Amino acid sequence: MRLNLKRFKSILLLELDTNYSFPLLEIIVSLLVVLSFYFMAGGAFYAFFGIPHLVQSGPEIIVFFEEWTRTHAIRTLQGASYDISFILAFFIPVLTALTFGRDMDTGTFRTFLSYPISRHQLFLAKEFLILVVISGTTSISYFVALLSFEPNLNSPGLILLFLVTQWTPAILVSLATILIAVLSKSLSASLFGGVALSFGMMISPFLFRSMDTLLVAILNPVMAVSTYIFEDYSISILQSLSVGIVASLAISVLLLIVTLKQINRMEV
Amino acid sequence: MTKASVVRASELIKNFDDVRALNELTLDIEPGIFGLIGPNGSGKTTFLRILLGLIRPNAGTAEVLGMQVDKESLQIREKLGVLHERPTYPTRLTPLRFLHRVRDIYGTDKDPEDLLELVGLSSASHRRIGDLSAGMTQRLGIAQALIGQPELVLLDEPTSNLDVVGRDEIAQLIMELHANLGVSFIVASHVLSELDRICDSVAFIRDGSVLEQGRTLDLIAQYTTNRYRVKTDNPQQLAPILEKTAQFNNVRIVGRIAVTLSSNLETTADLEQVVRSAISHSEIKIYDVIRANSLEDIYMEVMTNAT
Repeated sequence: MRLNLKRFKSILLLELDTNYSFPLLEIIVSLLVVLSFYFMAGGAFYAFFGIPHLVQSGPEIIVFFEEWTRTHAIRTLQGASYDISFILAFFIPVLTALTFGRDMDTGTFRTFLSYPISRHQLFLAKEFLILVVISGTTSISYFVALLSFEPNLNSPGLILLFLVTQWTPAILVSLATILIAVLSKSLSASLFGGVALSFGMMISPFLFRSMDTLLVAILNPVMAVSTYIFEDYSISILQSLSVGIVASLAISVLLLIVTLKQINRMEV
Repeated sequence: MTKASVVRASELIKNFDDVRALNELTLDIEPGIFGLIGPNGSGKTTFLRILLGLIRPNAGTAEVLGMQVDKESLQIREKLGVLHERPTYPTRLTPLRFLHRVRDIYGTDKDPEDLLELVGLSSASHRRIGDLSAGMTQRLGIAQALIGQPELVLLDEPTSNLDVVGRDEIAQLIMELHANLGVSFIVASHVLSELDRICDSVAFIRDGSVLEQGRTLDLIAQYTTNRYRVKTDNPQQLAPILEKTAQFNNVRIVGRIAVTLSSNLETTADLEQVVRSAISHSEIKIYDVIRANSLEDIYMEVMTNAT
């Protein structure tokens, strides 16, 4: 057990050194910065339409922005979350394809599996780091948002709901992208397949307007949260949203089982 | 399985869609330096990948160091080092840091710096792997194969992308490592020149089957007695002439500069005299007549006899 933990730690470090050095590290840091400031920029964007004619000078605009984001904190958070989910929809499959598809494409996977590493350990180390990056960047950026909107935004439940709705599709999309990588053993197939799936999930509620809230909560939960806020915190929508999140996690578990089986059977 | 065997494979079959890569391959490999020789696509890499548990055979069994590959793959890999053909390592790491990481996975206490010195790479230990030359990368590959203090090392085409000097250096290194560390090696290659002088025993494989296997010196004795190599500028013209000469039989063209033949004549001087008199009315040049006792000669014999 102790050796297994030590080995898992070593695999994590090797994976970090292999896939998370320049330029990916810089990209992740950039993403963090973009996500964090997106909230402020989002606030500014929404505040822009509310600026009264009498506000003229720069300092007046800043004061107005501060006041506006405080009084419209939820709306700002919702708007920025919605926009951020589109960035993540692109970033998650790209990150997953780069760490799984590329390693299979170039033979690094074969090199690593020639060491005393089980296939499950390697998979878990890679997926763990992907989820750490996604949950880390989103959590920090939401924390920044929380600081920006304090003291009026004292709704930790809502913040958690927003975070969960960012993470559940992230888990689903990353597992699906891994499955594509395992089946195709190709960087380009996993990249395009993952991005197509991710954006498909994002935009399908727009294409099918009459889509049930439960399905929306599975495919694009941030949109379902928006509906929940706009519908005056309707309990029925919250119930659908919760069921959708559980269903999304269940699908992820199913994908995890299938992916692990495929990884075991995979020839490298 | 004999007690000393490091690898034993029995009637291995491996199909890739419609292609049969291994065709009832049976091998028994003893400790030492073993050469797995065959043309490209003969099944060498497939065989090594089965030993590593990277792919599964469709039929047959294989054991490495007394452990079954289908059930004890992880335990086997703890005692195995590998250098893949065209290996890929993290290009942005330094060799030293990479070896530290791999060592931690094996959980051994081998000092990476000692190992880099052993393979002649200590001067480049702080350079990025991506900046190393092909020869240096191969040396790093051998170092990472040894970091887990293995009992057996698999080398897949270790010299295929090296020049003549690089090949010689790697061959020398394998011999030294075997002598100093007592590690057994299985070297899969189609480049015969360096295997000639390092392998204790060899197996020739083609189309996924073993054509011949044995100790190198035994095979040389078996296949090259009364066998000679005539170096010439025109083997195409020389071969038909020698076929008509009573003292020679089994005349074969080997590449663009040689013909091999069998003869009961006692010395190479006698043979050269007969050859020269046979071509006295032609303009064919003879450069040398030697005994055909290299691994390449055996390879040609084995492969030709098999067709």
